[in-house]
Amino acid sequence: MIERIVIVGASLAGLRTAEALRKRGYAGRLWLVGDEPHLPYDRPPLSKQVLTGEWDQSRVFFRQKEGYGPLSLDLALGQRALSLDTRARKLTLSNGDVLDYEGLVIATGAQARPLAIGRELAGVHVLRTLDDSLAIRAALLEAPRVLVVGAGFIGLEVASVCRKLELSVTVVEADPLPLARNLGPQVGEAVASLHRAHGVDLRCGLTLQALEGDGRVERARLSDGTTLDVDLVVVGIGVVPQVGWLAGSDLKIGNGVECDGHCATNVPGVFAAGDVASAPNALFAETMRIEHWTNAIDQAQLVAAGLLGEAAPLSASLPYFWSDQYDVKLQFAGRVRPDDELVMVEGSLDDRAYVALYGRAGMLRGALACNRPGPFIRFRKMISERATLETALAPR
Amino acid sequence: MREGAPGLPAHCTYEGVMRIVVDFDLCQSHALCTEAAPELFEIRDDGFLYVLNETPGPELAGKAEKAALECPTGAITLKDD
Repeated sequence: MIERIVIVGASLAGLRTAEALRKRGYAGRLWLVGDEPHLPYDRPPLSKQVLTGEWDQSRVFFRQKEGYGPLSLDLALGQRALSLDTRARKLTLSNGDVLDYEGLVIATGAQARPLAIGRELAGVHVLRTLDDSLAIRAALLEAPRVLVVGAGFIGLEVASVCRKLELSVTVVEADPLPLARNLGPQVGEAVASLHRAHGVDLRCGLTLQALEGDGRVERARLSDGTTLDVDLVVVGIGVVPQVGWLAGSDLKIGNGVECDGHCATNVPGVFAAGDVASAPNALFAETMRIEHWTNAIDQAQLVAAGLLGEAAPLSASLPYFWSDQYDVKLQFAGRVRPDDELVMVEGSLDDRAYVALYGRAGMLRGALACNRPGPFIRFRKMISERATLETALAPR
Repeated sequence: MREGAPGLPAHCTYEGVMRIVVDFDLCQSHALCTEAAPELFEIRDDGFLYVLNETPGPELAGKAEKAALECPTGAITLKDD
């Protein structure tokens, strides 16, 4: 049995790996290293309840401090992993500490992709961490004119929060429709209508050319020549896996840390889980890096088993995400392309409650539900069972 | 009861007989629990979650744990009865 395991990333994936290791009886030393000063916390509320102010920040933590006692962790918070020597099995932290390990878990997740412009200006934010969320929350209290860059899920949730707070908000999106790359053009149209109906100034097919201001952001110039007076800019243009600290190690890095179907890397004893891990998915016969909550917890189980030399199934996590916008909860499961066939099984995309399925080559590939959790979960299960579209559409 | 028995998520604290407690203020009807443990959880047509058996026997403990573990809002707690 190994005696020294280091988990890098005090994240959902990191914490759940630690829990799973202890549950499986691992009794050796266990480090959890995180670059933020905070105990592990949950990210989905950061663009939802924390931003609206419905939740106090203390509610996002998975465990309060005293809850860590039973896990017997060596917590190294506020410490960035600087470099990894996979041959000597040594991890160097930003405070100079060097940790020797027998098993290593990479759960460093992803970081928000920054804008190439306007970085020197105050009032320009990304939204990834708790501190990001609290900073935006504080700025929202000043009744700013808000510009959201990027109509992805984060951007649209921020826009939704702004309207809830009765703030004026413009969303700029380079693609012709929001979410169309993920969910197809018909859903993109419906989502655009939803936001416009709630008073969002949604401008698609445009890019941000410049941000101007004297120390603070004051104006945005768009690619169609228009300018906007803005006080707060929130950038939601995706994330990039945090792998910079692995340069110089023997690990194979591509779109994240490359793993096998058990989340093991090319270096023995080193595993990866969560947003940072790129692994073949047995369900879709495709290598994926999945940036979703449920994937992090699924992979944590595989990693814990792998570290302890126990048998584990191949990674087959079904991508699942949800988004809360206005009075709408969207739930999506699957792996779809914009040109997949879209079949409505309940309601229409103009309704506030519907269920749509995605099919390709006769197979059920995805399910999207709006305020319909019961039927959604039925179809989600069918995707896991590799159902055909015909089976999914058959009367029950 | 103690918070976080070794290795269990903080919301799984039972050591013997299990009782399922759902915080309905937290529950957002993701319904993942109904997939993990259909014997214990159900989403009805009203869109709300119903617990079908609050004190499952040991044969369902694993499924109940999976449901609690996979709940995206941490609304399911497993406690000692």
